Amino acid sequence: MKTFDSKSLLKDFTPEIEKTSIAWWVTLITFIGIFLLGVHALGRQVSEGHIVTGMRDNVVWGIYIVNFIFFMGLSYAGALLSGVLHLYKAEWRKPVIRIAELITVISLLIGPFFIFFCVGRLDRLHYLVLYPRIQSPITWDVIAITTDLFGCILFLYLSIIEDLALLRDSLELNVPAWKKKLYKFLAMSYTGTPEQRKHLSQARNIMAAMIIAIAIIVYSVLAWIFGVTLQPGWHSTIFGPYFVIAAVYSGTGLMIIVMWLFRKIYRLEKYITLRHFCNVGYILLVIGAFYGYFTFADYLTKWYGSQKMDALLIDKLFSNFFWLFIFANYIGILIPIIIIGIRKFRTINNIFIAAIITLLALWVNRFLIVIPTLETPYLPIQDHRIDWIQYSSTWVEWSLSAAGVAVFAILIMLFSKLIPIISISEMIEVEDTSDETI
Amino acid sequence: MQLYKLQYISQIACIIAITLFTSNAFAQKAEPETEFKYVKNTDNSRTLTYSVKYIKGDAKKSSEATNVPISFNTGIAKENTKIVNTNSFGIAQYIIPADQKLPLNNGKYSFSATIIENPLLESKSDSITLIDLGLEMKLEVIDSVKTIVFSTFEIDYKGLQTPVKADVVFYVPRTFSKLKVGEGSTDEKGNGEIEFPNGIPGDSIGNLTVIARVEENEMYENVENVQTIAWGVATNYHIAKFHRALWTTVAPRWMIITLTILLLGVWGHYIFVVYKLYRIQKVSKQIS
Repeated sequence: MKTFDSKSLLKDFTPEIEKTSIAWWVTLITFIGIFLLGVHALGRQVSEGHIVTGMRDNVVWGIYIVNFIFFMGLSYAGALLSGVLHLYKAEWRKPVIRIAELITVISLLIGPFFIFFCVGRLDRLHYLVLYPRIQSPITWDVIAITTDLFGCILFLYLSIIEDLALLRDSLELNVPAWKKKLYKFLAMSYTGTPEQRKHLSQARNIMAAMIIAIAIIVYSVLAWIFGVTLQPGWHSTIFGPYFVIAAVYSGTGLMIIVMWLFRKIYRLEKYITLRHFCNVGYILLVIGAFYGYFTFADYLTKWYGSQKMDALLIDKLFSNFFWLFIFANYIGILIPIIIIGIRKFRTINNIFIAAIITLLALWVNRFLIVIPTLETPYLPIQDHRIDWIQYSSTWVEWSLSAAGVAVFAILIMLFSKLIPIISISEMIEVEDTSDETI
Repeated sequence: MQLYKLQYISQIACIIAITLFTSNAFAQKAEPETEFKYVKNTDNSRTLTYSVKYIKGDAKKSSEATNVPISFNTGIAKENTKIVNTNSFGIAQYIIPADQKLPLNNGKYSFSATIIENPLLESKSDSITLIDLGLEMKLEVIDSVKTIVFSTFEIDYKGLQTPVKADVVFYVPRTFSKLKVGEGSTDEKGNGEIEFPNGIPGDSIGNLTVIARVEENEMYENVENVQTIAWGVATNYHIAKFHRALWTTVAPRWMIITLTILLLGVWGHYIFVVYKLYRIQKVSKQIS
């Protein structure tokens, strides 16, 4: 059993900050290319209007809103996990907590852009601020996201101050002068005196508790945008908690994926071990079981009630959207539970596969919440054209969706060149568990 | 040599001019979709309305034809012609004053509307021939019952009235459309009556506009009589509009209080955390 010290940790992590490989540049340029394709698609959408998308008079929300819910969900899950793990002072959290915090802030920066893509008259966007209606869930959402973004950035900043101070004071660190200046400015003269530690610890505890509460409120508000609307399938009291659970489920999945990628790319096998994958996997299992229960409860009550439009919607889900429904609500729940629940299957790669299934299933779940309902309005669709009746996403929408994923990857890559992806200050007193088996 | 050049240039100019002229002359014009409507108003004036639409290129729906010249004719003679352009809704309207003498042909009036030669649409003409009908309406309370008493009669060229049978429909205008409140027919003597319903919301003093209409009649077309009477329920929309509710401009108090407490609670903690950061910086300054 050995512990990590700051010198060995700096030695392990600073090469990634100091040097940039060709593979890193190639990956970055590829993602920038995807982002530029999205910019081109946006240009087409702005110049030609929403007719270049699959959105029409009835299905006014397409995969943009699905992406919005998805990215916001990832963000809230990151906030909830980092907040809860911080408050419970779970030792195993230390190598993975920064990943959760990063997912929180980056997803929260990207998500709202998908709302802008849905808006037909972007030139009137400032009216939301100039003429807000407190009664509108859209206004609640704008206030909530702004508040959440500020809180999450503050929480991330609090968690990197100590590392910034370590990097500032490291004599061996070979980085450009601007980077050194940036570390000096952001580290705020932190030297780690007992009083500074006390202030920092208090601030982090307060923010950890705050972001848990905010994450629950903000994602419930997002759910209420749907829940308070009189549409088949949406007008449900369970929608708030259902969205929160679904968000944590997908966010935990993404956290496992990012852990797996960083472990492979930066060779962090010593720091992110099977134990960490299993522990995050257990969270995935428990949340997955809750998500399955909520899904079943929601659809069972709708199906049993047999109200005309609810019955029509469920019929549609089991006919036009059959395989998507099976994937989102059966495979997406059962496979991760089986993989993590049975010890024999519980390997790092299997948990990674379970996380991918979770993430994809939850994207499809959001698709199934939005699209079939909009295709089943109370007032019959007054048009005979097929694209007015059935939503079909276009290359413009997919390009912008891919651009969102690319920006997520670009920001994570850029951040990893500035600050170590594993918190050095947190790791200093952590036991080395790389040889441990679960 | 100079003359040869001049002749050459003039030939080319002629070819270009002929090409331009012929291409313009043979440019395909759209076929118009038209609707011609006649309404005799309460004050005995008559409104002629001509709506013009056309299919633009390969479009699936018709578009309104704007700024198209329409010639309205109220008789055979040229002096009875009035030209009006269609507006942005593709509608041209001409109101014939009540005192204007109209020529009769076999006891009937004739009106026509013609699309005049224009670069957009092909020419088209529509006409209406009708017998002049009078429609009178009295709004009376008979034995405590609000009653609409109405009569219909033909009017000849001397102004003599002959009672006739006709179907009449009654409306009260609402915000988005006309609410049908009843229908009735006149007898051989040209008289009829119906009961007016109670409980229709009116303005702040209960005023309602009642419209009697003979509609799309083969012999008489549309004839209208409009009157205002305080038979509605007085409704003060001003009060309803400004009370605190989800759907008014002012939010319920509980909502404002809840949101304020939540926001103050959260942002108060943020400010405290920022203050903690300030203390961290202050400690290091004291040390140095």
